[in-house]
Amino acid sequence: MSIITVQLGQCGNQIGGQLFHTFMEDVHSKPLATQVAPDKNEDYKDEVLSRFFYRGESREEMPRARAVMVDMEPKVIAQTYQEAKRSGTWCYSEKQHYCQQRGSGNNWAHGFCIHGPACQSTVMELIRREAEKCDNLGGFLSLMSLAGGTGSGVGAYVTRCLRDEFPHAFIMNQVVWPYKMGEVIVQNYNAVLTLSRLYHNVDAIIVMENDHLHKICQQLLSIKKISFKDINKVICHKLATMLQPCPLSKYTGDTCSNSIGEMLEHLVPHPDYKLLTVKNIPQMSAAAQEFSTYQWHGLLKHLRQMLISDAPMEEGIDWQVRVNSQGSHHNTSLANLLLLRGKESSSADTAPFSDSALYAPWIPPDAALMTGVQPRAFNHYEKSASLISNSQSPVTLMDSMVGKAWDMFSSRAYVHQYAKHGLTEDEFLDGFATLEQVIANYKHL
Amino acid sequence: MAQVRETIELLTHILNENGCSKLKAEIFRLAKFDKDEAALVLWKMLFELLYYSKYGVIDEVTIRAFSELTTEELVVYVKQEFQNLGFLSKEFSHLPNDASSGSRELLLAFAWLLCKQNFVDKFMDNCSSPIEDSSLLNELERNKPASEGRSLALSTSLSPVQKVQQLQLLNGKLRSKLRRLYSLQREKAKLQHRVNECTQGASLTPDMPHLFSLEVHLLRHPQLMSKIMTLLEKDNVRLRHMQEWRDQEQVFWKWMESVLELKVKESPRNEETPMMYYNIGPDPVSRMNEARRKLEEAILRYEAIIEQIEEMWETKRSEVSAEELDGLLDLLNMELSLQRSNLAMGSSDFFMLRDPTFVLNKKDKKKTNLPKHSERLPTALGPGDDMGMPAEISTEIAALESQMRLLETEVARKTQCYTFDLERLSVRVPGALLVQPASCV
Repeated sequence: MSIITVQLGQCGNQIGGQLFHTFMEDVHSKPLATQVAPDKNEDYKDEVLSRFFYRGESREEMPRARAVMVDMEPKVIAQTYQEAKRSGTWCYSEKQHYCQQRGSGNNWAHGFCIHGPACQSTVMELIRREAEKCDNLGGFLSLMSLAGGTGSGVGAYVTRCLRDEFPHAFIMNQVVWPYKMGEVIVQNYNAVLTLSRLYHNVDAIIVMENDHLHKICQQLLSIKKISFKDINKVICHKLATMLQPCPLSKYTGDTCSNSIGEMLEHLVPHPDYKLLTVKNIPQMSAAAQEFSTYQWHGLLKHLRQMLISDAPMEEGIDWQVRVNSQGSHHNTSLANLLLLRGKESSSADTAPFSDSALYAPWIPPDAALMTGVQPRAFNHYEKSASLISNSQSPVTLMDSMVGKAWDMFSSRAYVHQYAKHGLTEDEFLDGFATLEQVIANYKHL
Repeated sequence: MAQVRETIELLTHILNENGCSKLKAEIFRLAKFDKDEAALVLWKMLFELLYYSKYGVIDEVTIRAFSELTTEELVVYVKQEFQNLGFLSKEFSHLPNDASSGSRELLLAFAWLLCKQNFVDKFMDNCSSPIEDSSLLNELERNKPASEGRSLALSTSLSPVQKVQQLQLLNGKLRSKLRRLYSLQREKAKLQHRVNECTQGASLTPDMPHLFSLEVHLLRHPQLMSKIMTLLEKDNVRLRHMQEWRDQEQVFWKWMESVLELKVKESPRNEETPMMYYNIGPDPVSRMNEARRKLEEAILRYEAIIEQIEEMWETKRSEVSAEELDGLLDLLNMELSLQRSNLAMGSSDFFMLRDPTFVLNKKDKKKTNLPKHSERLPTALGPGDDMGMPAEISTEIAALESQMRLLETEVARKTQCYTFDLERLSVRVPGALLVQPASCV
């Protein structure tokens, strides 16, 4: 199975570069740190390489990322190219990118209505070319931010084209949620418009919140001056814990690979619920790793509390939230995927996650939790667990974002900037309606 | 006669090799002389062959079905299937349901089935070359226990909304599965294509320029070769048997003829009874006949009544009563007055509508002219008024006149039409006298 990554806009391209870097770092970790036999490690490596990279006929050739880069400014793409080449372990294919000279100026309509249609044929050709190289096209992973103009506007447009071109493929979108105190004044507009479009076209949307990521950098990784690069690293760590090979136990005694289709089939079976969050534990700076040991029991206990109290990280969890106590409300899920990696991972007890009280009452018991166990350690962590969850967790944030955008829209602030590029007020209203429906659905879980 | 025995033994061999339970040639001999001990065995064989012709295989399902069905069920099933296939023998259908006797009939039925269904051909088709059967590959590697039954039953405690949600969820899962299946199928096609492409030029089959994926698989795993070899050997034996059967078939059919003759000799056929055997007693048949006769009588009786009614209907339709005529006349009068008032209204409307526009036009002209040429107003107004008015009025008059002509012709046409109608009606009423309305004269 192979996954094609579509990197959209500045944010998407930076994350994309970092993501492949993370994959390669994990693959090339020291043999001792992998905790498995060399042949097992080799299998793992092969699977990663065939999943995200494309290798030419000769094995000496550097693996090329299965990726298409799209941006309206050449700067970031050039930079990402350079960084990949400098790593010496992988590179991007030549000419697998599309860029223009002028950005979208944080205007979603400019990206969606002007740049999108202009780049459609070229970008789709690039994607088709990439798809033809895959024996088994597992799906697409689109990376973009919600706030900007290119990533969100062009991204939403390209995603729609992707759905038209590959009606049966699995499309998963990773979106970066802007800071609450935003960088861009119209970020809420952009986010509403993007999310509502994506909701119609893709199978799953992985939400990464800048505020949470910032906190993780600050408190867990103890970084003083946090740059976007640090945040991107955290994002990629999370994504990689989900996407790196990890056999899933589907029925007792039967395993299958964690192909994107398999995971999405479990996580987003219902067309109304498509928002995913990734929680992982432990996360720490490389320096601290050497001095830490963990037990599976403790890790999973924390992770479970993170899930029910909707905490973004292992510090500052609200332990008051209980599943069975009356009155207090816990984070209800639709489906969860628990991936355990590292030493003795098969011995961990995952039963607390399949408690039916965690899930909406109409979820059949066997559709609630799926677990995957990978004895190979991930990215130097002796033991690590990640939980991909389709739950109510992103909804509060979405609610406040829609509220803010609506406040602005009710006084028609900046709307003329969007109308200038041909986006009508009706389309705004459609976006609001779609997201209101999503929020209502999740709230009623 | 020794040759007959050999041939029959060959036949039992072939049947056995293709999945039927073991059979002795002796059974056939016993059946020829209608011995009862052969009956049950033959019933079983017929059942197996019917199953084979239906599903193309005799597997554990057949054996289980045989052990689970009671003898009576089995016999009735076989009888029914034979009837469906077109074997309409009264004697066969009348065989006792406990499979206690009638082996000669069974033997004849068997011969009929063997001949009609071309079983030997079917067997041959089935066993040719395991090489082409790629499902074999998976069988060699599969040792999976039967998947456990999963409970996806909707729980009863859910509200209807939740049930719908759950169904939507299951539906979503199904759709994802189908999509995955689709992508796997594409992958299979791609990989198979690559295998075929890479083996281009090396071929074992004449009309294929490349190797099958199974052949490539065998090249890769030589230890599987021996397995395939034994399978092929087995097939070879089976095919050879069938070939021998083809040569000796004649003997068997001759012998069958003798069986038939024996039967005819022992019980001369009764020609009167119907060929089809219904599995119902004599009582319902007589009752059905009775019912049918009654039905026919009833139909005959009612037919006369229906005819009568139809006649009455026809006569009623051709007559016109005085009341109807009055109604028609009223209707006509109303229509006429309506039309007349319409005409009057139309004309007045016409004038009311045109008059103000005429005036309005004039005013407009003045107004638009005013600001532009205010200094020339006194001079421009005089000639403008004098020249403009007559031109306007004359065109209006012309328009009105043409309108009038139109209306006149319309009135004339309508009058003619209605007088004609009235005359036509008056002719149809025997004692009536037509007085045309005044306006029409």
